[in-house]
Amino acid sequence: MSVPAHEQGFEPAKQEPAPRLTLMVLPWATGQRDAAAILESVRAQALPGCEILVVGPRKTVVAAGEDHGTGALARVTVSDSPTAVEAFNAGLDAASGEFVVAVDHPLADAAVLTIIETIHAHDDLDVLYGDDGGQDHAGTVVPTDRRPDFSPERLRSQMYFGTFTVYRAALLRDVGGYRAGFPGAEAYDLALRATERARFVLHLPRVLSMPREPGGTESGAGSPQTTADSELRAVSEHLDRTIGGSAEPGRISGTFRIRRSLHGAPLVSIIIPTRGSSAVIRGESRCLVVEAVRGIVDRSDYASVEIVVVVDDATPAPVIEELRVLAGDRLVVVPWSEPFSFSGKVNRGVVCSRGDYLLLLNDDTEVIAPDWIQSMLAIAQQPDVGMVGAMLYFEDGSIQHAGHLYDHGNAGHIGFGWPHDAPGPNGAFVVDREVSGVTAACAVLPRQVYFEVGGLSAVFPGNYNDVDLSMKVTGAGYRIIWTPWAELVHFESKTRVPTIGHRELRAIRARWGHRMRRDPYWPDGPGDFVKRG
Amino acid sequence: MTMDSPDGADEAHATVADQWVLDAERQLFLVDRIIGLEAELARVEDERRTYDDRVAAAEAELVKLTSSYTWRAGRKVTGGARWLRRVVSRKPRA
Repeated sequence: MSVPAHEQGFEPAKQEPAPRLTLMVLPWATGQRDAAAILESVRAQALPGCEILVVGPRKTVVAAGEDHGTGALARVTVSDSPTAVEAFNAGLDAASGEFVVAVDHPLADAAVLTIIETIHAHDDLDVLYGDDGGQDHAGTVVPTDRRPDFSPERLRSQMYFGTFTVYRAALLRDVGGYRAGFPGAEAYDLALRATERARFVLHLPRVLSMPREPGGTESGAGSPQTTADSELRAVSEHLDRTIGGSAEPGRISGTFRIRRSLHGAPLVSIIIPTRGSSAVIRGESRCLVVEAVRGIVDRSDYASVEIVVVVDDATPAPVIEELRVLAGDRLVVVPWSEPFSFSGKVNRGVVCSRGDYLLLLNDDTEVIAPDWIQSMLAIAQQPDVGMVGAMLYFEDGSIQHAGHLYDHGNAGHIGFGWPHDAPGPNGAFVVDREVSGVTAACAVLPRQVYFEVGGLSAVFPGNYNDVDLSMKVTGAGYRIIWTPWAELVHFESKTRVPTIGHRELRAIRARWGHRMRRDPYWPDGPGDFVKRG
Repeated sequence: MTMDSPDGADEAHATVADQWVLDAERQLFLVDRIIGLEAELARVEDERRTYDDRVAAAEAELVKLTSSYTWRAGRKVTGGARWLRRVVSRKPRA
């Protein structure tokens, strides 16, 4: 039985019949989270072509109707003590909508209209999620949990969708709805299985749901450990079905570290441009490039590398000798006699290298995690990944770089200056995730991608060359992933005054200004977590 | 231009033809140039679209304003004064 459509204010974008959306309310599952408020928020909306299903034990679904005058609601009765799987799947079986969503929390105003309009606009849409919101002191709806655009890599590490996710019903039936055996993590397991097959997953940057407390339709009876175990099993099975590898608990609850399998042991060319200069590090004067190479040789446990050092003519001969002693036959020294150009030097190193993968590295870095190369390389081996960045720390241990953010025509370092162990907003500093860009101070690219996008641009000899490279990589259709598991120290001064040429700033905006307005993967904007460059 | 490595590989790398390196760099340069020009074109197109949208929005706003009751009432009220002004301005000056 469906609810009569309230047509006022609704203008379908196309002439065909409106897609039907089934809103499943599970008063039993939502428990104390006030099923009445949920139903009220659902009924308050214009509902063109929608149906409302109330799913639960007989007593609760009848009560829902009687208490709220919702005679037009369809009721699906399940056993007196249903599992989350039984209730959700019973609702799915009874749903007549083309799309289905379990409503666990009150809806935001006009959420249903927004969803219907979005469904109309995207024929291939299979999964849709939005943001959560709440009311401020003045009663205005404000976003409380903004989510990034679809980030499959992040979804492997963390259930970031939230509970309000709209699925194409046929897709849900194809994947079998909720699965038994994942108590507390049914929604996560479903999100992973559905997105594996989805043609198009869309994040709608609007407040759709107004949670009063966390949680959803999953089984709530289990302990946090049970939920964590279920989530880990869901991710592990997802990896078995997709990219392989294994999952293990992450640094904070609800996050996971994905250990991807390497395909072979391809040669990685580490490209280091240098002038052979020295700096005071931990109280001692050290030659930066020598220490960087020493770290690679002594602390990295990936052997198939060549170290391509591009040296200015001014580089002292003893420095090159020391590099030879350290790296032996893995070292390739490439001279650079032309005027300063960071981009030119890196490009020179790349064309003189042989590896299928390129690791761009500043000479003022030091390896922390021995498996840093594998962590980045395994991600870069996925066919649609064009660039992978690392977690960089300052000498004092605070974060220097956890990905780039491009917003309002500016670029910035995410995480800049935050404590070493800070998890970041929604665990953003402790999970692999899609980003708009990464610094070239440490980045891995497949060789073919580097050449496909023209390498580092001569237009940006000193600054913004990595922003430009990132834009070119994503513009070519590749994803850029940042990983917290490749850790290095970047001996860049935290108090360094950026010497950004206005010409380069104008040039980057001339090229990419239209793509630097809103960052799809850092929806909160710069805020406290980003230092602008 | 030569590349230098520590052992016997020295020679192999050192004999890389300068021209080959320069050609490869030239290829990178040209690809970047094309992508850069395409990006600038896309930005200009985006700005033009934004400008068109703004003009359309302003025109719609103008239509809305001139068809409003307030506007029409105002025109009626000031009609006499506007007629007088036209007449005065037509009068030949001494």
